Amino acid sequence: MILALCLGVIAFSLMALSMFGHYKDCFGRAPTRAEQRWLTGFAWLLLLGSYGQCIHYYHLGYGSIVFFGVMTITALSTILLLSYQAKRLPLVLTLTSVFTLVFGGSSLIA
Amino acid sequence: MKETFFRSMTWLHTWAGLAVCWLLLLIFFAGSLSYFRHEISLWSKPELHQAVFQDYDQRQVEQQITKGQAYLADKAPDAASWTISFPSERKPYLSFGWADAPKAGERRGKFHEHVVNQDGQQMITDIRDSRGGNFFYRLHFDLHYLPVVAARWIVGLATMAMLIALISGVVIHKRLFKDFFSFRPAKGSRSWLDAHNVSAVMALPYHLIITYTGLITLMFMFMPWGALQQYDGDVRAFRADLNPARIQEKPGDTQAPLFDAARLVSQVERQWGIAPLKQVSITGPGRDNSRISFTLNSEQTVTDRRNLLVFDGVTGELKSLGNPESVTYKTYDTLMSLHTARFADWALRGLFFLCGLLGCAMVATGTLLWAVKIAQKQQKAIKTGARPSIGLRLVDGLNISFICGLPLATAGFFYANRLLPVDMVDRAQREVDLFFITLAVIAIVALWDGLRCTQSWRRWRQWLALSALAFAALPLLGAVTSGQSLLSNMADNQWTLVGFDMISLLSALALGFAARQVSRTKLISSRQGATSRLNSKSATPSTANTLTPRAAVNKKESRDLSLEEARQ
Repeated sequence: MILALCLGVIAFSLMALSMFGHYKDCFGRAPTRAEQRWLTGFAWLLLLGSYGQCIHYYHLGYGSIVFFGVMTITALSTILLLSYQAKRLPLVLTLTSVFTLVFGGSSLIA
Repeated sequence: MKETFFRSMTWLHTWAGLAVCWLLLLIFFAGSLSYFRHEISLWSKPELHQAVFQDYDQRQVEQQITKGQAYLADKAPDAASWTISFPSERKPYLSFGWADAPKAGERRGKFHEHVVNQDGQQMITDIRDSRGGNFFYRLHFDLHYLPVVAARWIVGLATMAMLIALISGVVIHKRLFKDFFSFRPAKGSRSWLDAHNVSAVMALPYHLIITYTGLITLMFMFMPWGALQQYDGDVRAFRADLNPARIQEKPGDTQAPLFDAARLVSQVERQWGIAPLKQVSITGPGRDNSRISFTLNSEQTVTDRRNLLVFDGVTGELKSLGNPESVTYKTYDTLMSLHTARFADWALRGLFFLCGLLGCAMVATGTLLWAVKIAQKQQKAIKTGARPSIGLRLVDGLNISFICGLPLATAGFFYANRLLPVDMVDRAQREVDLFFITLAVIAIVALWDGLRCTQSWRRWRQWLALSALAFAALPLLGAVTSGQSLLSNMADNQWTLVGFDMISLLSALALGFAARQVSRTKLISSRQGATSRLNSKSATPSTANTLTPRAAVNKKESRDLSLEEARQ
């Protein structure tokens, strides 16, 4: 579930960044059209990956239910971060991505 | 009928929600706690906190059944039924229980449970009388003091209103995706609207499912005619087909020797393989119509049904495989399981619990938003010395009673569990009484404040801070009254109890944060209460007219929002 949670956090963070206001809050400038499209597409892919992780570990029925819970908690944490510490979103995004790569990589090797 | 569809839906959303919001808050709150009802029950029985927890051991099942059957034959030979419960993730102990024959007018007799110590030699027989988590579970659909049928009708109607409010809410939330990540704190009614939207949208699948399946759980009460037609009005026959596990036969009059249940384990393994068992139940022990039922621990299978193998209690012959297998039944079972979440492990149950709390937040912020908007409308009149309307004072009073009252009453329930004398008569009911007394005290204070027009956010802060303190001290209370502290529970791997203490501390943090935010939030203005006349009188014209740069920005934003709402 840890990997699904990490992927969820990254996905929702990217989805938030694809929006004009939140991107500006974080980076001080507006995103380009191409950046918005790229961020949205990648976010949906990662969300799909998160769902894949859930059904891989818990099977289809149970995993689907877990996935809705994962979406709730990760989207909520993204909102709280954006509301109170918007400037730190890129840092959290980077750290979560690194952790996901290391954790996911080590899981694959194991 | 309003002039546009959007306005009709807004009206429907407001009034469908407002009509039942405080009841819904109680239902959501108690329902959310019910996800951990066994864990709460375990915490409520400190007699079980030392040298009792154990894991399920397949190799010892036969031995445990033999021992349980011998113990129960000695302790309760005339009982209506016996139960041997094996350790599971949620109830990590072995217990032998029995139910007395029901008295006149009762459906079931009183249940007694003795717990086996880890060493398998000693029995713990003196366990305090407490409803524990079962109180919250029953409260969320039986409303405790009301007659059961009336309570379920009330809960069912409130659930229907909730479903209407949810659907109309989705229809009127035009910026569902655009405002998906928007929560703008400290911006008056805009913040409450954002909080209402966020708590609703983040857990929308949960809210829809839990509401819809809540109605499903009561569907045979609301619409029994189809089933009654099919079964010629025989409700009992219908229930027997729907859920064979719940049907209890009266013990027969003729005595007959009871079959050794441990000898049936091999037959059970032939049917289910080496699968963990949840319990063995024997109805009418020592009678000619006795039955021995084995219940499978279905673990993480998405089902709410009890998988049973029923044997004849005299001959040991397999009588039934338990449950119907039709597609309709499976659909019904899946929907029921999505409501009860009995299949969920601790992590998923935690997610369900979080979604339940978001449901509480959605209802609470909805009703607060309504109160704040009405207060804004009356602000001018209040400033000239008029009293806030009775409706506004009533809503404010109910808000503080339920939003601050429920957590504090819950803490009161836990304190009562540990501080009331163990040998008190009707002790479990006294714990429950204290829950409602706490709620009533807060309501009376709110009513008094409302009558004097002195409702203020200061009162909110006081109750919230008191709740935070009460929850923060719960682990300490637990350590003093059970002899097992948070750290010793960690050392002993008693994670259920560790989890309870951690949730208490997290609740204290959340309530403390809320108390701090209440004093900071600009709900109407930074100095005023919702309906406080005294505060509004004290605001001088000079301060009202002189805006700080921050207040000027807020004012501009609220003007923009009003414009936006007018355009919508």
